[in-house]
Amino acid sequence: MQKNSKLRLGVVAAFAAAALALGTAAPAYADPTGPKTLNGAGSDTTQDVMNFVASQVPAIGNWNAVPAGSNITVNSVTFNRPIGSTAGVRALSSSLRGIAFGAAISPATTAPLLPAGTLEWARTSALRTEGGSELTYIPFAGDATSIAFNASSDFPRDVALGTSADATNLFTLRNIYLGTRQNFRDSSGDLITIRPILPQTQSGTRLYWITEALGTTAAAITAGGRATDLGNTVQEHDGRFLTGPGDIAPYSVAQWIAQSNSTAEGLNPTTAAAIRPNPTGTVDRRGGAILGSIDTVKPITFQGTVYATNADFLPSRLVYNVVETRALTSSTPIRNDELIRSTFVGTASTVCAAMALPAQRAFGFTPIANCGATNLQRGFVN
Amino acid sequence: MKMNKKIASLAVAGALILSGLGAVQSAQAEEIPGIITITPTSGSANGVFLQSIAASVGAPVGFRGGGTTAAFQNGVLMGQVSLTRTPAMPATAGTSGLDGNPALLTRVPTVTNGNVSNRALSAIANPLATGPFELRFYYHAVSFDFDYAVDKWISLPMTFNAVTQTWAVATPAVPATGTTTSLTASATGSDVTVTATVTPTAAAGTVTFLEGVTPVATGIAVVAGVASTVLAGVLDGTRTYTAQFVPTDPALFTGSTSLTATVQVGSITAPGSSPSNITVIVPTGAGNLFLTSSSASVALGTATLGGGTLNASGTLSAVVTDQRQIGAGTWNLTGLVSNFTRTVPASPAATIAGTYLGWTPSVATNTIGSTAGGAVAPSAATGGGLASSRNLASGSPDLGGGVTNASALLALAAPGNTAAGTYSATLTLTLI
Repeated sequence: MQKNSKLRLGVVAAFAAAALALGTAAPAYADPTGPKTLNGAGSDTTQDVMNFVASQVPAIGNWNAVPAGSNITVNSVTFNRPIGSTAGVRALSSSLRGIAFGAAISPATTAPLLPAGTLEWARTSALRTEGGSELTYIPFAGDATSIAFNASSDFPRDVALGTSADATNLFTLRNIYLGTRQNFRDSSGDLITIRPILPQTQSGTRLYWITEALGTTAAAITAGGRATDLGNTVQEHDGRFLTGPGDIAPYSVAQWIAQSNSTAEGLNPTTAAAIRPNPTGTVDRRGGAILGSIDTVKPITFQGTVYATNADFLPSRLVYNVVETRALTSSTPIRNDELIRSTFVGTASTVCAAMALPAQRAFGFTPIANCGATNLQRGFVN
Repeated sequence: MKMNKKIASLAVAGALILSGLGAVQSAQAEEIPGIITITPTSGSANGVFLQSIAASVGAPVGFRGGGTTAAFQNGVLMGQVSLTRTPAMPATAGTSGLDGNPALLTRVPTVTNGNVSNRALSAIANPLATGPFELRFYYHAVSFDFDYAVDKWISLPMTFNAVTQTWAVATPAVPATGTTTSLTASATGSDVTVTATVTPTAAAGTVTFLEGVTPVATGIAVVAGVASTVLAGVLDGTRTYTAQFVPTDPALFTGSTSLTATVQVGSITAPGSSPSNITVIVPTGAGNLFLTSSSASVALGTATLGGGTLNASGTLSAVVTDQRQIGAGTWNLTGLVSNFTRTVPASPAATIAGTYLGWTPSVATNTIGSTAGGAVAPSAATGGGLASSRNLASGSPDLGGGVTNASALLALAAPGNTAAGTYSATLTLTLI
């Protein structure tokens, strides 16, 4: 009997330890814990690297894109968490104009208004196309987008991206997403039906994948009838949605590296211990997903110390922070205008300085020469 | 280090796949000649399918992306029975053939080698039906995207029994053994004996004898390589026969047809180009009484005018062999001549009546029991001379060998006003 009692005690202790472990993992969803001057939200892709930047630039309040369906409270205003690039830029647009954003939050019956200054910037992984110049898209890093599938899948480890000039039955990612190629042979020679997965509709990665990488349109993808976002539930860069032998999804190469480096036993070897685990505790959501090569180019390089996104890999893209154009150009700066400029604009900005730190390599993004450039203007997102 | 290896393999696979995609466009559908060897050669559909599989021919250029083994029935893919072999397949799995060299995959040293076979035959995508099927050793252009009509394969005929759930390599059909048939024919009176010889002697079947295209004897059994029959009542003339061998089992022996065999039945037709040629058609007697020889032609020379007629003469000879028993009836050798017709010049037509030919028969003095016929003088009267059947010689069986050498001095006494020219007639000797 005495032995049994001891055993029971042991079990209780284990539960306590588990709870403690969850507690330490909390920074993974590292929403700002105190008042910040420059609050921003948006992209999943750049969520983690901007958490790192925020750790270097105290003025920045970086609100995560996950978990979906939750709310955030910024400067005492509670509203739906922007989950993705589109939602982030839309929330910024709403805040700059002082209009409502998202859905009503009980007990209120109308969507909350976002006063000017609630959000001062937004994360986006795609350059949007809205006409106008109210917003400036400031690039700060390079990323690449490859295809991901479960490690247990026999989906070809290398696949052609494809162009509109190809025959529709050619085995290319473009034809797969357009629905004209629907299967492949697994290692047993059996036919496997491909399920081309897209991130949820607010995703910048989704927009980029369809329009830039595949060079097609959302309407053509819909007409193809094969691509699915599983009822608008698929969070980008989350390999746990890849459950079938034919499941594939676009995946940020930088995110894959960042998630790999999320633990002490991460991707980078001990020679790069300074950046492993990455300082802001990215959550590993790969779920067994691995990245494929595209057009024979591997997505990742390794120089002996650090894994990095292959600079030669295509499709590749820039990732942006979006701010109000007026804040950059006004000759009579108001509110946080000058802080926004020093934070985001030019290679000497605090964001670009943080991106140049060695520790940034843990997140997989490629440093770019035009970090902080202000030549890209777009309109508000309604 | 583990991740390092993974990434290296990604790059290798990528390069290979690209080369495969490029080759697809110039490919052509084709089964390639080659031999698949498997062990065992029969077994249960429910257990481990193969212990080894070898292909004598490697992958053609352009079809070196991947290899599979698949079951086809009636030309339709029923399912895969192996893992997809790739050029990156470890050496312990065997040789894939994707380098162009022959392929060999065994369960040694890796017992679980799925490149040999990875599932029971009963577990393929579509169940096999009882009957023949094919095991195809495929060479694909791309490892993940097969075009069964375009990619290359080697075929192995197999059989499947859905009731007992067993399979076996199909027993290859042994080609039927070729035969040859030869034919001889001989005539005795109006009977013709045709004898076909078929080789090899083991060939069982029957022989059909044909004259031209008309069967004259069918279904004559071949015994020890020989089929023979007697054709009775064959009309006189030159007869040409062929023999066709019809095998009992065409799978074992092929049929064959002989060359022609020609036999002269009932008479000898003499060449007819001599100006004073007399063609004699002599029927052979029944039994063992033969007209064994006679003059093929008799030249009467150039006629000379004398006593108001144009006169010419020549000698006809004939040999009768009588081997019948003593007591058999008397034989008579008679002669009958046709009218002479002018052959040179052929026009205008002119004739000399057969009546103007007469003869003086004789028999050799050593002949026993034979007598010569009476002399017949040329005559102008109807039915005179040799225009009516006249006796050349008569005889009966004897002990002296039965050979009668008969002869006749032919005498032509044509009217003096007969037109000039070369005339010929046919004198028919009949032995009864």
